[in-house]
Amino acid sequence: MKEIDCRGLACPQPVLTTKKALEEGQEELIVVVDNIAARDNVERFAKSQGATVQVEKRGNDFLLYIKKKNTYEITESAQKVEKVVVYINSNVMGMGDEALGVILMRSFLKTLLDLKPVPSKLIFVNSGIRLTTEGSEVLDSLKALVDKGVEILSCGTCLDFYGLKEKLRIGIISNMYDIAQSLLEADRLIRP
Amino acid sequence: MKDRRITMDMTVLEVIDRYRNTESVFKKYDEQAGVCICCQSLFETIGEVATKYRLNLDQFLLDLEDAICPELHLHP
Repeated sequence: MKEIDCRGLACPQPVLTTKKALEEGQEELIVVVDNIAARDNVERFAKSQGATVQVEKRGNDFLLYIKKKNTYEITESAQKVEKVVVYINSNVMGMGDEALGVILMRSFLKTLLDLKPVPSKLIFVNSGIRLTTEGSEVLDSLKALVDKGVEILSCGTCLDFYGLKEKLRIGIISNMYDIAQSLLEADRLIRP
Repeated sequence: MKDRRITMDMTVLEVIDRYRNTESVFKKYDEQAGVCICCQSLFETIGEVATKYRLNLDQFLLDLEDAICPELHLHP
C-alpha cells in the first residue's frame, strides 16, 4: 500500500496530493498528516470520492487509511444499499405545540437507531442545527447514529446565523453545495 | 473583458486544483479572514467564503483571476 507523507505541508497540499494519487489509480493509500485540519480535509475529500477512510492517531500524527471502492463493490453496494437522507429543518417535529415537537423529535432520532435501513446522512438546516450544537438533548442519539456510520451535516450559514458555529458538538459544518448534492443523490428523502 | 474563469459558486478546492497560482491569493486573504481559508473552508464556495469572512467578493474574484492570468488586467 502506497504511503504518502504530507507532514509539514500546508493546506490544501495534503488534499491535492491525495487527489492526485487517487486519480493516478491508487486503490489503497496511507496518508500521513500532522494536523487536525489536514486530517479532516483529507478524510472529507476521500469520502466524497466514494472511498472508505479509517483514521489512526500515532503520536502527533494521523494516519488515514484510504480505500477506493472498485467498480464491482460500487455496483454491488448500489444494488443492496439505498441512500436514505434525513432532512431536518427544525428543532421540533411537526407543527403545533413546540414542547410536543421537541419530544417528538427526540423520540424520532432515538427510534432511528433501532430501524433499518440506517440513513446515510442526516442534514440539519435552519433551527434544526440546534440539535447538533451544545445544549441539545439528542446528542447521545446522534453520536450513536454516527457510530453506525451515519454522516451528520449542519448548515454553516445557519450555524453562523444563530451564532452557534463554535458550539457544534457533532458532525461537520457543511455548505449549500454539499447539501444540495446530497439531496439530489438521495434515493429517498425523509423529512420528519 | 474576457469571461471569468473563476466564479462564486466554485469551491476553494476546485479553484486551487484548477489554477495552482491562486493559492497565494487565498493565503493573502487569510489575514483579513482571520483564519486559514484553505484549512477551514476548503469545500466551501468562493461566495460562501466571502460572506462568512466578510470579504469583498468582487475584489476577491478579481484577485483570483489576476493570479491565473495577470495580463488580462481585469482591474478597473
